[in-house]
Amino acid sequence: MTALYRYLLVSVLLSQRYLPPTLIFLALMAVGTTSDSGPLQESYAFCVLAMLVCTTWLTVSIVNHEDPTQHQITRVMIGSSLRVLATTVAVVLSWCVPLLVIGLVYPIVTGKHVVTLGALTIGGIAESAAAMIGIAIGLLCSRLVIPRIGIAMLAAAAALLAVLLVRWISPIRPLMSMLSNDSTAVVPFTLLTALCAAILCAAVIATGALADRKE
Amino acid sequence: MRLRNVSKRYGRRREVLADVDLQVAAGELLALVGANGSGKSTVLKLMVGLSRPTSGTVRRNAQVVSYVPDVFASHDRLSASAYLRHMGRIRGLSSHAARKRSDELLDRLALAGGADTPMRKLSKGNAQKVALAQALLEPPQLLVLDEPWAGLDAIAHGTLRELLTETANQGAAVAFTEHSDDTVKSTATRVCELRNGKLVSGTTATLTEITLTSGPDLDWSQQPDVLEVRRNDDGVTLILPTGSHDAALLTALTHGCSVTSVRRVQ
Repeated sequence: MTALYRYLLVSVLLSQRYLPPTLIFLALMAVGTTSDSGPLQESYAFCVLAMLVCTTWLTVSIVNHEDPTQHQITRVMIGSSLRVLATTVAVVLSWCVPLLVIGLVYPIVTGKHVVTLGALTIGGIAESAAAMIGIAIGLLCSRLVIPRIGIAMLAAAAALLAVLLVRWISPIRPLMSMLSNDSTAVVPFTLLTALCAAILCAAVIATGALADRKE
Repeated sequence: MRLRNVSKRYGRRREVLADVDLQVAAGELLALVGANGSGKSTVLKLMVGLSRPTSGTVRRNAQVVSYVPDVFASHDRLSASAYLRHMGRIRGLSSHAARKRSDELLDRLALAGGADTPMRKLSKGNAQKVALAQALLEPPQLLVLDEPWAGLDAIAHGTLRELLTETANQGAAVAFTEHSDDTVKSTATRVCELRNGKLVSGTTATLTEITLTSGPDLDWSQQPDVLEVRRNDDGVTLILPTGSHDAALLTALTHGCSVTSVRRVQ
């Protein structure tokens, strides 16, 4: 599994497919949080939104990067499509780490905020949760499930809108509301993040099952 | 490797395979032949676990399974050598062993442009050579190849035949699809034909007769794959499955025998 992780990581690094979503994330940060003032958590609410959109894009890019024939070879080598998919998700999560750091540090550097450990912790938890939901949407809109890129893009856009607009469809809307209301209770944030992790696990299993079924 | 009463249907479309019963034994070189769309590639995908049967069972005992798809087009910026090193490590080889084995295979397959050529710049034939090399990094117990000769030059044709025969001789079950009759006859030990998703025939492949002048005393009956040994005053005549004759010829020549004739007898 470590060898497969290294191969996928190097392959994605050389492909530079991570660049467009990363640059868009940086642009969103610049537009949405530069010279921001007021509570730090309100800025993090915007970071959650940017993280959600960019990790969805990043996931689709990374999952679709592997050529279908190479994917077949890897699957035969590893012997389980679910293990290959889990490793791919680990690669996407690795690429999310720099985004998370940028999402936490950029508003502090460019804005005027009172920085507290509590706000940083809550921001980190909320952005991690957004990344997990973004990866879940990206997996379900990848070539493994939806082969046609146009339909996949529409599906991803619809899923992102639903997640942001419909209150109880995912933990994202409650997370953003809590950040906007300057809530400092760590426990609800942690519980919602655990729910996001469960949703990601379910998405990995569902993607694996749907991809296998097509074969 | 056994497929028992296997049927396959994609969605609501017609069955692409119907009641296929097929077994590949260790050491066997099975060729699947048939027209386009007859279901050959689907059988191969079922063998390696890339596809699941709609009904019937697929039993696979092999631990190390290798697969060569019909079209291998990588867009990786990785060099062929680096790609094979990664594949070797995924197989469980050390970096050193993976590099050594991949260099050996690429050397044998004569990859044009060298091992440092980026994967995405390889021609179809050279990409096919890399695909073959990845399948042979670790000696497989089950080797499945979908039209492996497609795009290969004449020299690589012979090398691939040798590699497949060697792999089967090491105890692997080898299954492949191919449209060229000559290639099938010269490589396979058994040929199965698929027609409209049904297995219509399973024939044992041809035999080859090799006549040698007398040379050093060599017990041919102990040589692998030799089915019959006939001695006469002029020399010795060997009967062996077509596909294994290259190895026998090599043994004969390295032991100082002279080859008088090689002909297909069945």
